[in-house]
Amino acid sequence: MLPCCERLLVADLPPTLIALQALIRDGHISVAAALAAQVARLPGLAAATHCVAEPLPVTTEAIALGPLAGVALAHKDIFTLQGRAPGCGADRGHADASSRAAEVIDQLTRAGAVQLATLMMAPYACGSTAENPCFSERVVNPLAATAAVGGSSSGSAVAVASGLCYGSLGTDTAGSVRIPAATCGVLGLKTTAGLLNTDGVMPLAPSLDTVGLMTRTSDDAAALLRVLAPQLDNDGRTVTTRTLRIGARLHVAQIADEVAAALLAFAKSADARAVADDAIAEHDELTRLTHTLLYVEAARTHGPRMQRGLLPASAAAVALPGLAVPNAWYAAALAGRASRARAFAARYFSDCDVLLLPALPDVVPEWDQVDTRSPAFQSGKLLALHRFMGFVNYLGFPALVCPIATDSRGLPICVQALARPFHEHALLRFAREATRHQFGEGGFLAARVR
Amino acid sequence: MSANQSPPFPTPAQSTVEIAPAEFDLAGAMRLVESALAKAGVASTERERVACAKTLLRIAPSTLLLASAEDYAAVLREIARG
Repeated sequence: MLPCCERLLVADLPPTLIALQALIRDGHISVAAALAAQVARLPGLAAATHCVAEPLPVTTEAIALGPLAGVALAHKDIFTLQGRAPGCGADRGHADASSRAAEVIDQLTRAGAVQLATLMMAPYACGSTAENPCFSERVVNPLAATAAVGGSSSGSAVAVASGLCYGSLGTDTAGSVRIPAATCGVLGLKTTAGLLNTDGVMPLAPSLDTVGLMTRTSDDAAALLRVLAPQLDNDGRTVTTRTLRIGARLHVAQIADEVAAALLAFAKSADARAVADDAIAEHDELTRLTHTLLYVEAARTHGPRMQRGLLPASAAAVALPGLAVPNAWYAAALAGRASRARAFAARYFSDCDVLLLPALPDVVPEWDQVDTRSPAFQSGKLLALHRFMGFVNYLGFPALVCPIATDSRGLPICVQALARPFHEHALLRFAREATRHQFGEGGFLAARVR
Repeated sequence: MSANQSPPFPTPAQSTVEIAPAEFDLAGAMRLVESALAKAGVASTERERVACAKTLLRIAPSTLLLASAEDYAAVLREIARG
């Protein structure tokens, strides 16, 4: 961890959102003091990590009451804010009097949360890393400066991992929350398709786009999800207290030995049933269908920018093929979605609540291996980052990544966990038990600081 | 379980779906790409067009799908119930 991050992480404020809530609730710190402390640590961490697109003014005079009062968050610069249009990784955003806050931002604000800053991202949410030619400074992984930061919600992962904020919203169209979370050792939750409102969120491929969140612990994620999706708490079908039944498809032949060993050991320790080291048979076909939807819808989203030559290369690489995809291919991908989701659930969730897969197929890459401008660039390393991600967006199921081991450099090895639609609470329970077992009460990041 | 909004999931029209021609190869994909980009008025380099053509080859469906137009959001809710 960068020295400045470590120093600031352990200063004054507790490491988790729920611990801060407890301090406020018990009168040990006021809401105003809590906010002031969070605001004070922003400049140093922003300068060290380059994860901030724009700091936002925070006033403690008009403090909202609510379950998140005193909690400062920061989000991917893809959400429209009140009076501000997002930069979407192409610029730093700008004032726009006609802009209304995205629904998810409004939900958090009504619950008392404050937004400290907008956060860096890959241009137009296209990119498996934080590489962004629109900005001169590269986002820094707070765990190790030479380690890559995944994308596209790169600033969110760095902000949470560095301690700049307790939680962050991102978007996940084909892994854009889970990939950066996996590189920075934080929890990343891609929610069920349609669970969270995407009004006011810059689209990429609307049928695949989901709002996701990153936090340091599962309890912090649950606190945010309680505000964003309160309907989940009231549904007895999706909230269960019985022991989770865990299955696994670990694709061992397709992942690095170090990752495979860690995942197999973890699955065994988690008493996973049906630990299968083979692959999900439908993976390649589902990925093909995901890409069909992604390319066509990205082309629709960015058509005018492409015509004017304003789309950065990483975004053009996604949108350009979509212009040429035959309509019939797109219609077939769309039409087959429901039946494939049903078949997937029948095959993999008939006797388990949580299905484990790899998050990344290899250890966290070095920046130079995945930066397309580097002489050491390896396209295979870059493409591998989203190998196990996109098909989940096609299915629409919720998925979570969290650290379950460390590699030989001390960087996180994460697992990806899937559940039935709207069963986010099962995923968070799984993550709570998994990280506690592996790293102790505070999880991966707290264990590193110790 | 219900979502808190109407999700942006278009329901596809219907059901008979063409498949990629058996001879669909890089040359065929290139013709498709060049035609589509010209129609859209998008400038591109040869390298980009080749990349697009390779992408089309990668995602070309190989089998005929006769999927019915189900309500995807409703199916997600159904799966949630187990």
